Formats: sequence, C-alpha cells, structure tokens
Amino acid sequence: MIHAIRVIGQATVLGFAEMGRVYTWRTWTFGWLLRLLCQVSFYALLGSYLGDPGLTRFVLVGNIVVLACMESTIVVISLAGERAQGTLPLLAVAPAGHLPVYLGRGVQWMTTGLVSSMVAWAVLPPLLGVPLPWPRAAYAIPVIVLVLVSSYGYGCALAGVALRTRGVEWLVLNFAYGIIMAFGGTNVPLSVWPAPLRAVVEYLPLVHGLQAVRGILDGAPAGHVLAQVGAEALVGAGWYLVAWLSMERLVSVGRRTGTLDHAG
Amino acid sequence: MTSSNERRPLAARRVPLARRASVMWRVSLVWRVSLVWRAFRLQTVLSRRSPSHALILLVAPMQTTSLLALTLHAHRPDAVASAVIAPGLIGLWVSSLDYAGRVVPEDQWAGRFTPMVAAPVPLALVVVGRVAAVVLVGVLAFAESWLVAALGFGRVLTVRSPGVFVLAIAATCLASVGTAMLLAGVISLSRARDVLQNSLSYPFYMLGGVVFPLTVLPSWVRPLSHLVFLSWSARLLRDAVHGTAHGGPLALALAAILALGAAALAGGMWLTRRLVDAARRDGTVGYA
Amino acid sequence: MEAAVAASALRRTYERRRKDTVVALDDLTLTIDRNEIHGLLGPNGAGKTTLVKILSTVLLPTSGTARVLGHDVVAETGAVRSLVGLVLGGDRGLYDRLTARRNLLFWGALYKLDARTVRLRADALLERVGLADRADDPVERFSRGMRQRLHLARGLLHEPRVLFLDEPTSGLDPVAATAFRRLVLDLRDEGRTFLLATHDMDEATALCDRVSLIDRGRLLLTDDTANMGRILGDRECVDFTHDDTAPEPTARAGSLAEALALLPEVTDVERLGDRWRVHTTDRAGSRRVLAWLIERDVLTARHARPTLEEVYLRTVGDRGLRV
Repeated sequence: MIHAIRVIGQATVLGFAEMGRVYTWRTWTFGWLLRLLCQVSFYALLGSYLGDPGLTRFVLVGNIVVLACMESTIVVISLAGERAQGTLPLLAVAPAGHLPVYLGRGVQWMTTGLVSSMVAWAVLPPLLGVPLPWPRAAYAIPVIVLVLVSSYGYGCALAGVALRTRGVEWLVLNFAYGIIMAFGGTNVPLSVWPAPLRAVVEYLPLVHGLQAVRGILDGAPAGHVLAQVGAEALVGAGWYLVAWLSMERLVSVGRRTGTLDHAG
Repeated sequence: MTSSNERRPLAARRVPLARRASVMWRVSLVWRVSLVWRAFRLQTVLSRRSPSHALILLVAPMQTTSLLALTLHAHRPDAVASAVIAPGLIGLWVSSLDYAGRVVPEDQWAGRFTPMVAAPVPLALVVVGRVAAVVLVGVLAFAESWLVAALGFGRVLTVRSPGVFVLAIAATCLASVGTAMLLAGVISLSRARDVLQNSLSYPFYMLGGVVFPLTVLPSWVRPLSHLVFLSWSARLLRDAVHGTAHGGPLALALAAILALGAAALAGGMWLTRRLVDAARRDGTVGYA
Repeated sequence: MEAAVAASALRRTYERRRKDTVVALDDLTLTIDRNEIHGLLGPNGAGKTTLVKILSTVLLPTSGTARVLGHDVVAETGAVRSLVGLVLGGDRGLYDRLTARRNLLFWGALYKLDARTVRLRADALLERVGLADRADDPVERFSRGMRQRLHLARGLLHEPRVLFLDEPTSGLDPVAATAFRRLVLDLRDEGRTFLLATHDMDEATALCDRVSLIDRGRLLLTDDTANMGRILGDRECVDFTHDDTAPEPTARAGSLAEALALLPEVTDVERLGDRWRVHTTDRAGSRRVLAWLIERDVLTARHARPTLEEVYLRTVGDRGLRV
C-alpha cells in the first residue's frame, strides 16, 4: 500500500513535470484558461441569443461543470504517451505493478480542471449577467470535485482503448468528452433525448453530478441531491473498475502476444 | 578576367532578354504549381494513414448535435441555419489550426525538416500544398453537419441561394488555407507551440460569430471580429441559406474573406521564410 | 548452486495476420552461470530480443521453461522481477521531459525502494555512469550515449543480480562504447550476471566469457569466447598483408599467393578484404610459411586464429542485407 502511494506520488510529479515543459503559469492562464473561459462563454452567449436568462444560466452552469470532466479526461493523452515513449513494458515488469502509475499520471489535469472550473464558477456568471445564488453555489463545489474524480476514472478506462490502437488517443479523448457535452445534460435537459439514449447516458460521468449541482442551485430537496451525488460516485467507481480490468488485460494480453511495446 | 558574355550558356545567348524572362517565368510558375500539387498529394496520402487527421470528422457531428439541440430546445427554428453552418466553419478552423500547425513541427520532430531545408525548393510552397490538403478535410464537416440535422433531427436545411453558398464556401476554403499558413508559421516560430494550438480555438469562434450574430458580443469587441474571416464567412453563409445575400454587401463580404485570406497567406509565407532563415542562422534546423 | 539463467526447450511463436505463424524462438536450451557475461549473438530477427523479453517476464513463452536464479519466469514473476534488471537499447523507454534524476526517482518507487535509498542510489549511479553533472537536465537534451547510460543506471537501481542488456551500445561512438563496456566489467566484478544481446562482434569478444550464436530462433552453438576459433576445426593459419604497388609483378600479392599455394605445408590461400589468409597443415608449417613470407618483404605477417566474426559469418552465413 505504502509503495502504491509512493508510486502515485512519483507519477504525479512526473505529470506535473511534463505539464511544466508545455505551460508556464502565464501561458496557462492567458492561453489555456482563457480558451476554456471562451468555450463556456461561447455556449452561454448562444444560450442568451436563443432564449431567456434562465436558459443562459442553464447552459452556463452545464458548460462550467463540463470543464472539470473535460480536463480530467485528458489523462487519456498522458497514458497513451507511455506506449509512445516505450515505457509500457518497463512499467509492466516493475515489482510495484503498473496500475498505481495510471492513478498519478494525470493528476495535473485534475488539478488544472479544478482551478479552471472554480475560476469559471466565480467569474463568468456575473460577467454574463446571470449571477449564481451564493452561498448556495459554494455547496456545489464538492460535487464538481466529485465530477473531476469520476471523470478521471472514465479517462483511465478509455486510455485502455487508446493504448490498444496507435495514434487514436486524440480521437478517443474528443469522443469521450464530446458525447458527454452533447448528450450529458450540459446544454439541454436529458428529457430532450429519446429513452434508450437516456438510459445509456446514465452511465457517463458528470451526468448525475451535474444534476446534483443544478439541484443545489435551484434549492431542490436534499434527498434528490444526495441521490444524484451517490449515483455519480457509483458511476465513477464503475469506471475505475473498468479501467483496472482493461489495463490488467492490456498487459496480460500484451505479454502473451508480444504487443506490449509497439511504438505509438 | 572573363567577360559576362563568355560565362553565359550558349543557348541563353540566342534568346532575346525579354522573351527569356517570360519563358523562365512561365516555367517557374508551372514548376511551382506542380510542386504545390505534389505536396498536396503527399499530405493526402499521409493523412489517410493517420487516424488523428479524421478528428474533425468525429467532432463535427457531436458539435452539430449540441448546437442544434440547444437551438430547437429554445424553440428558435430561425436559428437552425447557424447551428448547422457553425460546425462546418469550426471544422475548417480546427483543421487549419490543428493539422496545419503540426505540419512543420512534425517534420522538425521527425528529422525531415533538415533535408527539406537543404532541398532546392522554397519550403513555403511545400507547406502551402500540404496545408491545403488538410484544410480541405474540414470542408467535409459541412456535409456531416447537414446530414446530422437531416437524419438526427429531421431538419433538412435548404439553401435558397446555392450559387452564393458555393462561392462563399470556396472563398472560405481559400481564406482557410491562407490562415492555416499564417498559423503554421506562428506556431512553428513560437516557443509555446502546444499552448497556441490549444488556445486559438474558442476565442476565435466567439470573435468570428460562427453561431450567433456579432451583436451578441460587447460592442468594443466587434471591430476585432471584422479582422477574422470567419465573421464574414458565417454571415455570408447564413445569408446564402436564407436567400438574403445580394449586391454590394455580397461583394464586400466575398472581397473581405479573400483579402483577409490573402493577407494571412502573405504573412504565413513570410514567416515560413523567416523560420528557415532563423533555423540556418541559429542552428535549430535539426530539432523542434 | 542454481544457474543464473536456465532456459529449457523455450519456444515462442507470434501469430501474424492471415494465420501464419512466425517462430521467433525454436526449442532453445541455454544455461548461464552466475557471475558470467554471456553474449547472445545473431542477425536481426534471430530471436535475441524475444529471449531477453521472456527472461525478463515482459513476454510469455509459447512452451518450454525458463528459470532465473531458480525462479520460474512464468509462475514466479514477482521474484524474477526484483532479481533482474532490463536495459533496452535505443532512444525509447525514458521520460523525455523529466530530468535524469527524476527518471531514476520515479523508477525507484516502482521498484519499491524507500525514498532515502532511491536518492542515495540515484546519486551514486549517476556518478558511476558519468551523468552526475547532467543529472538535472531533461532527458530530451541527452545524446544517444547519455540515454544508454541512463538506461543502464535505471536498470541497476534495485541492484539486480542478473542484467539483461539488449544491444546497449548500438549507435554509441567508440569512446562511449568503451566506457560502457568497462562499466559492465566492473559490475560483473561485483558479482552480477549479464546476458548481452548484441550483433557487435568486437563487443562480444571484449566482454563476454561465453557466447551463444542464435539464428532463426535456434541456438547454433555456445562456447567460451576464447575457444570460438576451435569451432572452425582449430585450423592453423597465417595472415599477411602486402604492398601491392611493388614495381616487379612477381613480388605482387597475387603472385605470392600462387607461389604459396604450391608449398607442401599450405592447404589453402584466401583473400579476406585487404589481407590474405594462408591455411597451413600444422604449427610447424605455419612457422615455415611465416619465415617464407618475411623473406619476401610483406608488410605484416602473423600467426592467426579465426576470430569470432569469422565463426559468426561461417555459422550464420553471409546473408548480406537480407534478414
């Protein structure tokens, strides 16, 4: 256990070091963060053009929470890098096992996801003329953190797919959060979609967390909010399980077929 | 000392000066076009083999779904055209940014940049050809978006002025190639390449008013919008769909798109030349 | 005492598309003693890397068994993994954006070393492989030789008793390769065992106690490096070189070769690149041939034994660029 935690710690350091080679705090703030804020505003402004402030706020809240999900899912790219860098076979034969590595490898994205969604949560609603009801809006923050964590599991599970076929990590990533943005209740309520589609969407991260966030803002009964929070946690746990099985299988199949170190 | 006459090859001496210049110019033009065309073909082959170049074709349908669902949910059938056109414009922009930005850096990274610089052809022409190929993939996003609206939402978008629409798409593609050249140059020269590539998307969709009219934006932003070809294209395409694009405004919009594209192209060519010069001067030819 | 490595009837096949099967290792049996540097020689695609991968638990054998220090590589992977170090050649396998030291700290955690131990060992190893003053530079700025040395340091972090090196000096300049080899010899003196897959004959001659030649997945032969010449029948030879610009044609090498072939103690004369080789009947014959050559003003003449390279070329066959 202690070793697993140390591995996660080292993998986290590795993730931050990789990010540090791409971003400085200044380029992150004026490049990436600004882009994310524009992304949220883009949809929110469309909402304001199409409808009333109620719609604007609905779209705005949905797209802010999506930031948390989107950034966590970027772990797909970090994990796919293990194959491109040729480190996967070395990880697979390390005595501490390869699984804890994945848990730390994308922590930097969870961190920036938290920062960017929090900045958006605080800054954008007043700027776009649809202020959130504080202090109630603060109660939603732990739920956003939960969305970050459950989406990370989802990202790890999809990395299992991205590691199997070379050069598809960006497709997998964009598809992963694309379907959540399109169908997960971000811009329009889930009730818009036909029942079979809704049934599938239930198993995506963010979906229940976002409903909990909306419930908190609208003053919904605690029971409803807690049920949605519980569902989000369950969905997240399920994705971690899928990730674990998928990675274990990737390595065991790779050892059998000799495909562990194919260049990415 | 030898006279200049002696140094000139025999054949050249017989051709009058003016005619020789014109022949050389024509030969070099044909040669340049064929170089661009070969670079275009090369990129087509490369892109076919690299799944990530299909990214925009994956993203566009999901984007159409998001935008169209929101539009219909808000009971605004008048805005359906915007929701269908926007993913196409975004597709063109993404392919300019994403792929075009990668053409030169990928060559640098893979060690192909050094032989390219050593080759007796201007790098800019090779880049133009390759960029054109990737940008045109973005055009398919328009078709995808239309199909999603028709098949997924039962909204068959009819174009009232098809001629204007085709003209607008053609002008937009040309402007995209020019802009992609500029972006390729900026991104290749930048030290924060990944940051730029990740960041130059949504700010421009907003500035370009790809899905809502510019009046939604604060008034101080609007002059900036006019410098982004997307804003002219978005409006012209919407007007073509509604059949409201005529006369002066139509000509102005087309001219603006082409002029902005040409300016970007010139800037991009200049930057690419600077890139090569800088690489030779600073010895950075070999690595990214 | 258990052998360091004992492979028995190892077979490994790969399924390719359309159901054809490629045999990478075919019934290979090999024993490596403790504290030995064992060379694994063979052309590209001979099965060297496959063997290294199976022994380091990256790959499962299709059939057969292999034990490292008495532990089965399939059933006891945990025990094997902490005993062996794997050093793959080439540019990959490191985190390019991390510093050399950070890479080692990361892998230290994966080998269940506590933080203090990793730090101390990382410093010591960086010093040892000559990267101490570049320890805090990102690996992406490293030359190939520096990467190889960092690979070795990574493989040594958990103080493995058996090391598998897969072409560790490919692409190194001669100075770097020599330094690398000296390091390997030092490590052997500490009691470690090495399996060195290479196609560099000089490297194998300089480093290995014993070598195995493999080709198309089969073990062709295993013997002491020093004895390799015997494989070719322990023949006696004399090598000579000659200045071929001599004015009188009778003194030219071709004429000398013809004259040599007529001597009773000479069985054969052949040209090997820029030198000539005279095969003789016995040692006394060699002495007489040497004397004969020196009288005729050759540039160099020496008593020779077939080198490892010749053994390799004659056993594996000269296939040119085909693999």
